Order: sequence, then C-alpha cells, then structure tokens
Amino acid sequence: MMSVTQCLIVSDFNCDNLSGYLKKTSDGSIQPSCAPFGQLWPTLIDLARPGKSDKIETAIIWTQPQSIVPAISREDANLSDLFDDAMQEVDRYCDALLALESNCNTLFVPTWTLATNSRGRGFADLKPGGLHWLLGKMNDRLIDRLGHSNQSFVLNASKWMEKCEGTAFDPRLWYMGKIPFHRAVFQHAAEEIVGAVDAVAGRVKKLLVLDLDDTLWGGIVGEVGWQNIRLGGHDAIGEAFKDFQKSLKRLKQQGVLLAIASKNEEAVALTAIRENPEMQLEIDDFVAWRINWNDKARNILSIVDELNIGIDSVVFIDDNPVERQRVRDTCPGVLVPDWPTDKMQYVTALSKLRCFDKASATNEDAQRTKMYHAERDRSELKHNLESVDQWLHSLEMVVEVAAVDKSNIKRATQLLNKTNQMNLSTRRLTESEFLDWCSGENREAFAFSVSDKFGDSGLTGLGSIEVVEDTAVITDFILSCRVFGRSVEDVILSTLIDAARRRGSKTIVANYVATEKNIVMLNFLENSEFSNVGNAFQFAVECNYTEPDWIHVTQKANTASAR
Amino acid sequence: MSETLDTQILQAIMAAVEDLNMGLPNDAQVSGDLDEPLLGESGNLSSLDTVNFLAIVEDNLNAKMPEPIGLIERLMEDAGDNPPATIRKLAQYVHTLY
Repeated sequence: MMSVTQCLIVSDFNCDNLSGYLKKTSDGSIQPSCAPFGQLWPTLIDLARPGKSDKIETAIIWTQPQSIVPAISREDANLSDLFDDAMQEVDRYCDALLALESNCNTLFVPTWTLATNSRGRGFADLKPGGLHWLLGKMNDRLIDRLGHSNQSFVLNASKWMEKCEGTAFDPRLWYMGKIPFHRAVFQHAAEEIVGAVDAVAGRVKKLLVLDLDDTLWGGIVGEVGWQNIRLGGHDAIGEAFKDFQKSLKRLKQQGVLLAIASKNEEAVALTAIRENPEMQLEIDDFVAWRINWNDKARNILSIVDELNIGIDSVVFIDDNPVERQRVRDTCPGVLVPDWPTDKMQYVTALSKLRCFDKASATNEDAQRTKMYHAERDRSELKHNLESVDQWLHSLEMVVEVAAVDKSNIKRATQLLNKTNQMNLSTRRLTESEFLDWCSGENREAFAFSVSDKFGDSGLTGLGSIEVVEDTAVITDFILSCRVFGRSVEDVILSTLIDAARRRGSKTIVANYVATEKNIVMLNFLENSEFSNVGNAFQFAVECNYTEPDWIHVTQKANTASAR
Repeated sequence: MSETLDTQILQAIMAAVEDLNMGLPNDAQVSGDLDEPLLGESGNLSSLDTVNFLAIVEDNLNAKMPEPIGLIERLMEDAGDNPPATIRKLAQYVHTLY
C-alpha cells in the first residue's frame, strides 16, 4: 500500500500552484494543503504552540525576502545601514522555524530569491548596499542557522529560477493572483520536494548497475582494445566519459553501490578497467560484475541476489535502448532512466536522477563499498573452511551495543527506514520521531555495531522494547542483510531479554508483522529459542538465552546497565 | 476567420489546456471540449486557475504569432469579470486581437 505524506505549505504568497504540482508529481503520495493566505506569522506561531496535539509530517515554509526584511521593498532604504537589523529579522524568522521542529517532523525552507525584474544597482548590485548583496547575506544566515538541524532542510530555490531562463517571475500572475512565479518554477520545486520527501523517508536507490562500452567509455573495447577506448585525453568525447566516471565515483563516496552488467569478454573488460590510465573508477569501486554474453536482465537479478538487496533499490544505465527496454520489461522494480545518445550529456543526465539523494551522510555511506568487499572475502573464507562453526569462529567478531541516542540517531533511523528483510515490524519513523519514541520511560532502544577481522560493518542492527506491565514487547528488531546469518541476531535477542529482565518483566514477546519481504525474519524466529502461537513469539525472561561463543560483545558507556 | 489563424489559436489554447491539466488534480481536469464552460462565474476553473490558464494561452500565442499580444490585459479591459466562457468563445475573442 502506498504511504501518503501529509504536507502543509505555509507561504506569504498564493501557493495553490505548488500544491497542485506536488499532488501530481508525487502521484498522490504527497497530500498537500495550504495554510491560510496572508497569515504567515500567525501560522508559524500557532504551529509552534507547545502541547499541540496534531503533529505535522512535513511543512514547506516558502517566503519572499520582503516579508522577513520589509526594508527590502522600501525605496528610500539604505541597505548597508540596515544590515544588522536585517540579520536580526532573519534570526527571528529562523528562531520561529526551529521552534516548529517540536511539532513538525520535517521542514523544507526554500532560499529567498528576488523577482527577475528587480535590477537593484545593476552590475554593481553585489556590492555592499545592493539588493542582491543583502539577499546573499540573508540566505547565508538562513543556511547557517538551519544547517545543523536534522529536521530542517534549506532548498536552493535559485536552481528552480535558473531553469526558467529569465521568466521565473511572472508579473501577470503576481498582479492578478499574488503568485510571484511562473508555473515552471513550481513544477521544478515540486520535483525537488517530492525527491526530498522520499529521501527523508529513506526511499532511496542503493545500487547502480552500469554497462561498459559507450557507457563508461567510448567505443567497443573488444574491438579497439583497452588502449584505444575513448576516455580522457585531448578528445571532447573522451573528456565527457572521464567526467561521467568522476560523477559516478562521487556517488560511490555517498554510499551508492556500483556494479557492472556488460556483454563483453570478462578478461578484456577487466584489463581495460585495470590498465587504462584514464580510468577514474577502479575495480575496487565495483561491488559486483557480470561481464559475459548472457541476458543483462538475468545478470542484474544475479547481482541483486549476490548482494542480497531488493530489486526495487536498483538503477540500470545503458546506452543501448534495446537493453534498457529488456530490463524494464523483465525487472519491473528496476529504475531504467532514458539515456541521452549524446555522450557529452551523460553527466547532466546522471545529475537529474534524484533517487540517490540522501537527507544526511553517515560514515557507513562512505565505507559501504568496502564493507561489501569484506563480505565477499568472508564468503570466500566460508567456502574454504570445513564447517560453518569453524568459519564463524575464524571471523573474530565483535558486537558493540549502544543505546540509541543523538550520537547515532542518523544511522539508526537510516537503518530503520531502509531495512526490509530482517525486520520484525517494518515501522518507519523520522529521526525526531524515533528519538521521541526512545525517550519514553518504559522503552529502551539499542544499536548494534559489528566488526570482524575483515573490517568494520558499522551500525547494522537495532533492537527495542516497550514494557507493558510484566511483559516486554519487542517493537523493533532490525538487522542489515550484510551481517545476517552470523548470530548477531542472537546477540540482539539476548540483549533485549537482559533489558526486559532488568525492568522486571516476566515474558518478552515478538509480534511478527508480515510484509512481502520479511519472511527471513519469520524463519529466524521459528528457529530461535522463542516459542510461538501464530505470529506471536515469546520467551520466559527468567531463562537464559544462548549467546554465540564466537562473538565478543562490548557495550558503550551509555548502556552500562543494559547487559 | 482565416482557417490558418483559427487553427493556430485553437492549437495554442488546447496546448494550454494540456499544460494546465499537469498541475490540476485528476478529478478537476479540463476536458478540452470546445463548449465546456471554463471561465467566468459559471466556469469550471477557479479564479486562480483562470489566471494560470490565460497566462499559458498568452505565452503559447506569443510563441506562435509574429506579434505579441497582452491577452490578459486586453481581456481585463474588454471583458472585465465576464471573460469568454468556453474555449470556442475564447478562440473567437483572440482572433479579434490579430
């Protein structure tokens, strides 16, 4: 079932156009509503009221600069002299926005722009005292003040205006309907906001599968040889491919996994990647590859299977429209964007994909490819050892248990919202909602970080309980598929049982909520020491739950009493 | 009316209907029927959508025709609160401006 995000638009102009485009662009997954027209400050004050019962999921607060700093529209104002006053007004506005965070999960605040027909001092308008000078200072302050918040995001409205090439401000709409912008501005804004709402909710793509010939480099490597592919050098097309690879490398740094599905001789293609000095991507930048003459759709499914991720978190880029259509037809969950025939447009086409946007970056994101490589090494070791037990002991695993708090909430929420398979209840929360939930007196939430001799997998598990009378109910049980199957899951259960015991519970219960993707969770519970009636699994807290002896469990100071 | 001019005007208005529909909810789409009441008190469009619609028509006409016209301004002068109610009537009115 499609989840619907309620979105309140608060503005000092008529924002019905934005509302319409939001509804349309999101295919109904965003339900926008507009706050009363001309009521900016009363609305902000009301929304921030302490104890307000109806919380807002998402709010867009879009204002014109003259509503915040009225001197901007005064003909006789000397803006240099008014600088300090203007900054105070901006601070007052930022205070009001930050005060909203207690009643609103996510805030989007577009930067201020000036009407395209405001000339200010012309070419000298960026000098102190100019309109655009002051506007820049105001936006800088807005970005600084909201930059550290986990709930508020400043959106770059200038980008939407630039796309309209001088027609962003429409005087007809302003005078007739108090709409300052051309409809195209609202369309661009809606596209960005829909992407941002998805990103905040953790609905992002994880894996980018790439073709090689005429996608990563120019030419057919099997025909021209690795020395003669078009890449870098004094060649416009070669430069374009090089820049495209740099953009892909940047995505990899942000946590997107890269893989290859190419019809080629594997040895020839890998030699090109390893030997061509202009290659920006190295073989270690890819988590998997299928370089053969098989059907690409089948190859993509095989990669997805190897990495143990959902098919709907995959994007496929190929210059060949036939291959693209084949993958669209056979793998409906995979996003296959149309791709330009002009190689010099590749970077632009990639930049238009919003599906990789993230609300925040974590250390795990930058290390993700490395973690998958470590997982591959583990699998190889597993094949070489005689028994699973022997393999598990050889890993020298350490699990660190920490309470979920502000220091790890970013990654914890990311895990909560992105994990589908090993997930007991599949509940989705924003950072503030999750922190809020954890602060309940009868609740405890733990984060589990896993490392072994191959490397650090980072924060990959979550577990939480809520105590009701003498029963502890497991609210969340989440484990990344990267570490599943090594008994970290037993450490999570054992930790939750200890917490329940400490709080005087007699029984601990896990209520399995079935989804299309979490059958693996059910299988684990059925094979655990919990007994079940239907989908409810329980364990007597007085008994000891068997912990694996090959995992060394440590705890952070904030969980001193947990185990 | 000359057939070519007539066709060009209708094309500009129909393209505007399509464009307007992109921002309208599915249950409020404009059908494109030449005699569907759209503008004015009995029209199906809100005052805001009317302004949007006329601005798009004006942009489309100015992109197609050699001479730009200020459609909204002329309509306000000529028709005030009673703009041509249907696409057919609007097309006829636009024709008089060229």
